[in-house]
Amino acid sequence: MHSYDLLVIGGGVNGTGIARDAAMRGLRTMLVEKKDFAAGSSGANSGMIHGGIRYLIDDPQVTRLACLDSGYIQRIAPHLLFRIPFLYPVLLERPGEPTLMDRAFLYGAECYFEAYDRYQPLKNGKAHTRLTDGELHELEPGIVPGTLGAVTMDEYGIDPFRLCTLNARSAAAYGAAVRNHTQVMRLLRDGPAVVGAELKDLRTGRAEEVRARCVFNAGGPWAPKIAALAGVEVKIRPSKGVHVTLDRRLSNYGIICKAVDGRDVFVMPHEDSSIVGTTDDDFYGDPDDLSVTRDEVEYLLQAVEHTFPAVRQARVLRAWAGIRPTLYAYGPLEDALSRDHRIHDHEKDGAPGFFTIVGGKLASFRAMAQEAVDAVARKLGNSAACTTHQVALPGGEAPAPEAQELSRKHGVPAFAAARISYRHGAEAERVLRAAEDEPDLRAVACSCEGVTFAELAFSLREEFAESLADLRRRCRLAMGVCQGTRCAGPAAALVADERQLSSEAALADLTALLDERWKGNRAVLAGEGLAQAELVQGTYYTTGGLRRGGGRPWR
Amino acid sequence: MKRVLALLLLGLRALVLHPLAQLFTPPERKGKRRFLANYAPEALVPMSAGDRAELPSFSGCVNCGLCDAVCPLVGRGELQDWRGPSLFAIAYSRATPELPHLRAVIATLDDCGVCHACQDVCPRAVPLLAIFAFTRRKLAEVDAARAPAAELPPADERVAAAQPGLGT
Amino acid sequence: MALTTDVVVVGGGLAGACAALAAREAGADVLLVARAPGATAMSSGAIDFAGAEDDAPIGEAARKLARAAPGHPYALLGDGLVPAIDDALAFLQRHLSALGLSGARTAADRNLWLATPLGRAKPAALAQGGIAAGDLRNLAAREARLGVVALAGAQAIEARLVAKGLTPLLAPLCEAVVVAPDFYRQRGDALRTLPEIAQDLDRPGRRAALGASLGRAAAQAHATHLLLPTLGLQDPVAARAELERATGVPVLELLGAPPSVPGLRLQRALQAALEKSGVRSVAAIAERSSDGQVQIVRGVECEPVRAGSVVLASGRFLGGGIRCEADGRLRETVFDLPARAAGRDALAALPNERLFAERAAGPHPGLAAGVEADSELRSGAAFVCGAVLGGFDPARDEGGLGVCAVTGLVAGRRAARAAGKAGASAPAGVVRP
Repeated sequence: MHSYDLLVIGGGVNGTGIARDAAMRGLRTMLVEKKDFAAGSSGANSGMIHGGIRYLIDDPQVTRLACLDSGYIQRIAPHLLFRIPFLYPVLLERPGEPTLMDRAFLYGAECYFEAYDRYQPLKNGKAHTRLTDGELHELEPGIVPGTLGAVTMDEYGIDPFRLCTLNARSAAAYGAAVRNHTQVMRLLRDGPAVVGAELKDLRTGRAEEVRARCVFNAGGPWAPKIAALAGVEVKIRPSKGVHVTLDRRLSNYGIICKAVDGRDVFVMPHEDSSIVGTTDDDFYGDPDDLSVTRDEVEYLLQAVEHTFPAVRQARVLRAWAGIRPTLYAYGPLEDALSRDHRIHDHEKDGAPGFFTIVGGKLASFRAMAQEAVDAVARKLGNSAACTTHQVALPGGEAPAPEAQELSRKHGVPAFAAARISYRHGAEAERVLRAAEDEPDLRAVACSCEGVTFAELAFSLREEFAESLADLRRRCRLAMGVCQGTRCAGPAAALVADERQLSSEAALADLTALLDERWKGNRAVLAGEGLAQAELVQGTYYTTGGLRRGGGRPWR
Repeated sequence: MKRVLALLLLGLRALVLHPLAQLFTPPERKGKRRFLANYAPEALVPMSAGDRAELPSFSGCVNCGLCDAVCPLVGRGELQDWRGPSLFAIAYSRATPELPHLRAVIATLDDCGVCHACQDVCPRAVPLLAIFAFTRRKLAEVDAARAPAAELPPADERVAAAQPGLGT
Repeated sequence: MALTTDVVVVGGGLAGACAALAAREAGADVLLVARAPGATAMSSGAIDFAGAEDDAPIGEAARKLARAAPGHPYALLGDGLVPAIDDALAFLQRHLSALGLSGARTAADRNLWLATPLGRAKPAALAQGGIAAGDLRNLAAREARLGVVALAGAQAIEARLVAKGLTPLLAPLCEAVVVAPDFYRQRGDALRTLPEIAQDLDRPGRRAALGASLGRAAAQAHATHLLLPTLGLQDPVAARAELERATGVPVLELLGAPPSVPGLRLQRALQAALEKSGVRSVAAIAERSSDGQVQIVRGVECEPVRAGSVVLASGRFLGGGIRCEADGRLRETVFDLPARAAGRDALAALPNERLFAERAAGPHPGLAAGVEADSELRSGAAFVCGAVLGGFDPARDEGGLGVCAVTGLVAGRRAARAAGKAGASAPAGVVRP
């Protein structure tokens, strides 16, 4: 039986972050995830590394630490971040002449943003500006006319899927055993102590027992379920957040809008698309079974339309949902719940060796992981220092290669080279090197997101990807405008090649990807989306014969 | 307590520090000019009213590939450089920060001439020629913002950082 | 100045072309207005009337579809359905001979089973020469070794999946192996898409070079048949003959997924057939004029059309015949005819789960949206055919282009008759409702 110092359960940003930190401190670590890295909440958020401007009044120290950590993430994964300038338009209370209240609000907002400027240098951020109504409309003519003006600030976006994958890869590079598609079936006990787990590989069905001196539950919305395996109660107040993806950058600037109930809703550029989010509603269902209603989509689009009517002409690609594993509190509205995190040492609950982390936010994952591993390290007598803020994640060690050079050198189209550079940073050369020996890998699999087969092969060979859905998360396969119309079939063929799958297994994987894409499309189908859906149906079912089983259909 | 202190400091900022800072900030370090000096060189250029009017029509592409199949430039020269008109709709025009990487492909538009076969064959009536023009225009805007002779001095974040701020 | 014609057809895909050709055959003067290709050009190019779970004859399978879905266009044809399919099969073979179309001769025949780009089998009544020759039922009945040709790039990767999928379908007598000729050797060749490969093969000398390379590879792999991803865009019949001479084995072709070379060839063959039969075609947008007639718009020019009757063949969402507005309302885009899905005129009017199944494979009543026509295939003043007619879903029925051909043929003949051109060649059984 394998034996570890620490078994981390959950491959979200907390779990992968903890596993990396622990492995870097020399702890013998294992990371298990029942689906895939960032397959839950960590992949279903706004994808932002923000500096915590909302804590400026309640606790400026939180803001300072958040900005500091944003700077650290920039240092360890510079290629993954992209800057998002935000516009905060101040709409008039009612049309006509601005009231004194309107003016005071804008003045107050500017002072608030100015206070935030103090922390911006920690994360290489730019100072705020104040815009007149005229200036605002020159920068974004799609905003409703007749505002009082706007205040601006900036934050960073990140590809949260890659962030988790890179943390997991880094953990593995420091010796951690990393298993996705592996579920914890039960926890092993020695008296009251939690001393390991029985694992099941969900693809092969093989079971395995591992021993661990400590077990860390980083299950996010699944944390209560995992805690129940140890017989302890972890309470969270799960809340559902819905986002909508638009086909392109409507603007290079994020716009902060007010929803009908007064909540802030953002429309913001994310890589080559825009996302609108988010809702915040108490959730009582099964986190494995999330779906989005047309009402939720309408709430978001209406919220943006109020400030930025141009959103109604945009092409909506899909809607998706995630669950925030927010700290439990009875009383406050969802929005007012603390985004703080908590680390439980369940020794006090009669389960020594078992820990749980709940709450928190993507932007502070690194600091949370540090705190979590500190707690474990104390227990295990490990005194190594945390270095996750200094040592680069894979690809972050050096500047990313220039795209046009990469394109010429390896014979791949420049737009694909640019995306490889973004996603892989200094590793871009390594990703494309496979194409030197296997020239077919130079081909573009997904033109919307500039994904070459070489990149897919790299993820299958080096990044624990096992399925098309895993490739979607790592390479944005099928996440673009056509939602898999052209790329899903060819990519399935590559997975079949790399994993020696039968035709049946490869097409089952293809069906799973198409089902997952469809799930996000169906809540928003209208306009061009229906034409796209017709083409997907034509490609895979009418022409491809995918609905038919593999049996011989003729007599 | 923290909260009260923070609010007090914010009040101080509103009444004293902010007006003072405003007084000593020259106009080119404020407002839209400052904003553009901050972001346009990073290819985060604004959309104009004209762009805004055109953009919805750029979104009709379903990636059927018919335009690429009729484009006379496809297969001419290095295959990696020109992969067909569809990419302008489905990839290149979606984010201006990508454009500086696509200089060579955008330059190929010089050979594109007046054939508009791609636009004529498009089942979704996507205005490919307008998308070509858009990518060119936006790349030129990004280049202009990056040119060393840009009218503005580079924005200096430290101006803000050096100012007395919250908590000091 | 107005354009005057007996029949105006809006839409130039398979339905519109069949309607125009049929009306022309019936003696009418025909004007076809199409802005651009639509779903036909994106299709596999195989013409499917109805699939059959139990490999039933085509006519029987079509009748089953009509019985199962009262809204299906086949149901509108009543007893005329099977004769109409017989008629369409002969009609298509007659007009599309340049494609070497072959397969079922009458509705009593069974489907061909064609190899798909995913390595599955798709049923269709008719297919272009090299594709039809690859009928898997036929191949499986003999001792053979099918070489699935891997040329370059994505196509080569997909060829391996095709071979994997076909092997169990063809067993035990026949097996599928991958054959990789040394035809493409340049670094950039990996980037070629199928239409690019097709165009390359149309260039002088390229087919000969491929033939030589394929011959060697086939011999080495002991392949008795070769399955190519494409035979070129221009003249697949000649290309096939040339490659067969060079390799000494039968050469077959795979169905195409978008961007589909056989789909493009079908679209071009339809255009050629229209020209040959004397149908006037204009590349323009058709609209309803203020007096309820048709007008055509080219750039800023607008011309009214005076026509005896109108055929609407403008396609569904892809073709642009049906749109769903942001508020969920369904709209037929030329005449604003009532369009419905699952019996309602707006997608927003129904809960999502009644329109779109949870799984991608469907059924999706929301995607079967379209105009509802009467038993004369009429809606308002227009005869309606093809995908703009609602009630059928090619992805589930395995009947798409076939429905377009049948309804196009019937609508074209009826439009000619309504315009006062009593169909000279129309069999009585088809024209009567």
